[in-house]
Amino acid sequence: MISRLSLNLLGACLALFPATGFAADPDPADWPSVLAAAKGQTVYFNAWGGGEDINGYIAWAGAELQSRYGVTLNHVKLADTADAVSRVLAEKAAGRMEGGAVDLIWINGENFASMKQQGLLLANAWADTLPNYALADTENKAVLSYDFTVPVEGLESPWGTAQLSFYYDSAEIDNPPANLSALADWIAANPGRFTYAAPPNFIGTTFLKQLAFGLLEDPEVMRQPVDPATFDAQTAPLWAWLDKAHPDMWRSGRVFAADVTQLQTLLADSEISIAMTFNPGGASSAIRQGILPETVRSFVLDYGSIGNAHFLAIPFNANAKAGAMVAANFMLSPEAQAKKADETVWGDPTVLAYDKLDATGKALFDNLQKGPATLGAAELGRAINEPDSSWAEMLEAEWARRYGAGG
Amino acid sequence: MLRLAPFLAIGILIGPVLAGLMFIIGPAFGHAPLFGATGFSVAPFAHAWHSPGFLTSVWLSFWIGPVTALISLALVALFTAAFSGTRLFNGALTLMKPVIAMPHAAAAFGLAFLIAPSGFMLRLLSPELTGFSRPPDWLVVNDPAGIALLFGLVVKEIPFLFLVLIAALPQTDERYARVARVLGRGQVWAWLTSVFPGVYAQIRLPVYAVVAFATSVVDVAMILGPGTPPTLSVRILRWMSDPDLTMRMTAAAAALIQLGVTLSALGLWWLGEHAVARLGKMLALRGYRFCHDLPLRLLAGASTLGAAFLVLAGLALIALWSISGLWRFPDALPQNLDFGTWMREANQIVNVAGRAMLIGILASLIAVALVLACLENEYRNQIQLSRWARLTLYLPLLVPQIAFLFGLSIWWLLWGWDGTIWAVTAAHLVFVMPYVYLLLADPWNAFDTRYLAAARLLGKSENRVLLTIRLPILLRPILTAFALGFAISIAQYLPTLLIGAGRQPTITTEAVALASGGNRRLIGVYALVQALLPFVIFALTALIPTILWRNRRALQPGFVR
Repeated sequence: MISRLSLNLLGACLALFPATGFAADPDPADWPSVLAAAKGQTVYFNAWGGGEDINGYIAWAGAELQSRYGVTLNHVKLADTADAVSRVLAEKAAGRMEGGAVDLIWINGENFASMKQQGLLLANAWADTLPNYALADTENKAVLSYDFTVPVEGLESPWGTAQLSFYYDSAEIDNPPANLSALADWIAANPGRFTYAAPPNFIGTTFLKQLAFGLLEDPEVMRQPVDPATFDAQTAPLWAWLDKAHPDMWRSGRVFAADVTQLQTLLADSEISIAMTFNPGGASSAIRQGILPETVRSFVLDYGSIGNAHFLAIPFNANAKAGAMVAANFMLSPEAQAKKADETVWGDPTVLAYDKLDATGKALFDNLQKGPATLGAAELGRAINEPDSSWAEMLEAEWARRYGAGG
Repeated sequence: MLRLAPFLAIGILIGPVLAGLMFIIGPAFGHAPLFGATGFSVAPFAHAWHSPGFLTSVWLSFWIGPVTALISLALVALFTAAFSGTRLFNGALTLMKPVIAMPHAAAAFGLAFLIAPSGFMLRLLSPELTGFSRPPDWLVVNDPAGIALLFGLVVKEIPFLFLVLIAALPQTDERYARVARVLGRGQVWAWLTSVFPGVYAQIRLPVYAVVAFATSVVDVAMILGPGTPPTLSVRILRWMSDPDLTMRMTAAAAALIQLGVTLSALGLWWLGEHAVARLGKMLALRGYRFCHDLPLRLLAGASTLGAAFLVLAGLALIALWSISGLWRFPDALPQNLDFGTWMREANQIVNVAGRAMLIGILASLIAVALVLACLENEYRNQIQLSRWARLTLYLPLLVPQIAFLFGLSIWWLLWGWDGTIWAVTAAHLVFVMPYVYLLLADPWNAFDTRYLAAARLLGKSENRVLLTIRLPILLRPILTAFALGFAISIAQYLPTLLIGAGRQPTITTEAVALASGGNRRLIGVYALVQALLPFVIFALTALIPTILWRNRRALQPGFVR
């Protein structure tokens, strides 16, 4: 005999659990159904909002999505991708398994590794089955399948690639340094005119990795997970180079730039003479926007430069999954990729394989103009793949220990 | 029903803080089931403590609170002592009002651009006077000692304390100062020993709020403060944003440490109060006169007015940057003007500014209504607010935002209310109410209640008397409180971001997101709009009573009985 009390208690307990009938996630293999589900949805696209040209491109993409697919794209401007990660994390902590606030995230690297490890991403390998994914250059660009050496496994859709390059004002400098010893000499000869962003900022850590690839006796060890026992001995040349160069850097190495755009501002203000960026078209874009003078040019170091890719990911509990997939697919389309690579718009390199495109697609890319400060594919030289992510953590920690405490 | 008002007010003020703190304590002590960490452990604290430069960060956050308050309060007190009652004084108030309205981040941007080695001041002087064709490699902004940060905080707190002090002045009697002058004391010393103690008793809590704010400020510290190592609050924010999600436990531990730092700074200030009181009493009783205070008066005047001018100059520079084309060092002016940024951003600005105004007006209206209800309740039931009650009023200002906001957002998530405009308004209400109470309490208590007694004797009800007599006469302070509440709401970043879940972009969230890009044109446009919104409301609220009561001499400012 079940008493009324226990029945009521049972009912009350059951009411506490949310309805567990999850709607099936959209399957990109059945693309027409995804399109139908996406129509009328609003996609909240969480992406870094600090670039005027990037914001303009996303606004264009939103207009196209609206007119072509009936999907409304809302650009949630972030100061830091981690804000979106925090959001999804908080929702998981609060038990919100669907109807989340974030539909699509612009992400890569450590943030991606973190979300993947914590199970915060939509997991049905959706990105590999998007119609336009077939056009991506996965054969030649390993960075599209391994995000900072973490396998992508269809959890995020490629959006663009990046390669570290330096830029300078050619009215001030005739011959930029071509390798690390030339750079060290240049810094010593021009005190206060060079700096980099402090790790763990993205470009700061990349600069450390770039230095490591050029200074370590055997750079190939970085492909493997780091061995703490040998780390100090292996990275000794790196710290020696930095110890020698820091006193001659901007602000004597006591203050560093905050991020990639502050480096650009410092160059624009003439506080430094050499800056660095991930976006090969970024300097030309800045010239066009009237931020940098027209004499700015780019260069890379002779032994290669670190390259990576950036992606779009969908959280596990996104509200508009179908809409997000349609948006990601559109971002992979030749029209969207060509417009993105157009330096009068953004200048971010494409992830598509030129040979896989049809005639119209190829024509779009043929018509793109290269800005004065953009290096061509040949000039950009060898792309070095990212090292194992454990190296980044240890390099950042060691840098913080040596230089991050006001040393 | 009025009796419920104080409970509602206290609930709004304490509830969110305690609720938010709840979700910090777990992770700080090693209990975070989401990351697979359970049980009790002090590992997060150890991890935070051993991070490089942690003690420097803690020390930096600790001393900057009391020092900011000390310098600002000293300058404001000296200025009032030197110039109280003069025309300069009233002019200074008019100058300070737009500065108070400006959000801290916008003021910090303007300052950074003014004083940096590649900034406007040096551009004006170069290359003719200084011989620089490139900016000198001087460490001014982001200096490791924190002087630039101190400067940025002081110039913003001076107008705030000024406003607060002026609101408290009518409760004190300036004639004491006159008597002291007659007895041979210098002008400044006379005022400091006779009037200031009474004034200080009333502005004590706002001063504590300044101390607490300075120890835990995030946006100004990011713009002007040291980078390696940063202040504790910036460090917490970075840990909260770290891709390694288990760092959030370290961040939670550091947030509790931040709470400790703020409380210690407040404790130090409390000790300082007693020390200064003893010292002042001793000097006064020994008969020191300090008559030759002309240099001091000039210093006070120059510093206080100079601070306001600097902030306004920064604002003008932000405006100039928003329309400039290429502008390189050492040009004093941009090479060409470019209105493109304004035109491209116009739609978005209207959108986010409109939302910010809506939230601001709502939050301020509710705050003013609630505070008036509390004050009326105090009057009708003859309740005197105890010191502890006043302390709870300021709790949201004393506890660092970063310590409890993340936890608070989880509560909203649990109830499913996050991301709505009402949730953001409620979050803003928590921070607006203390300031509104602050600005309303003293004018309310200074009101001559004989007017009310006369009206009651003539047979009007309590509510009628409130609506037709007390509120109209207090219109000016009410509107000033409303304007300040609006300014506070506009400036809120973390609450809007965390509780709005990205669905409620306001002018401030946009401005901070864009600031991370470093594009000065964009920063200029958004910072300018962000600074102007409160200014517009301030101007309106100053204008309305002047027009409404143009035929009532006693209700005009500057009326002396």
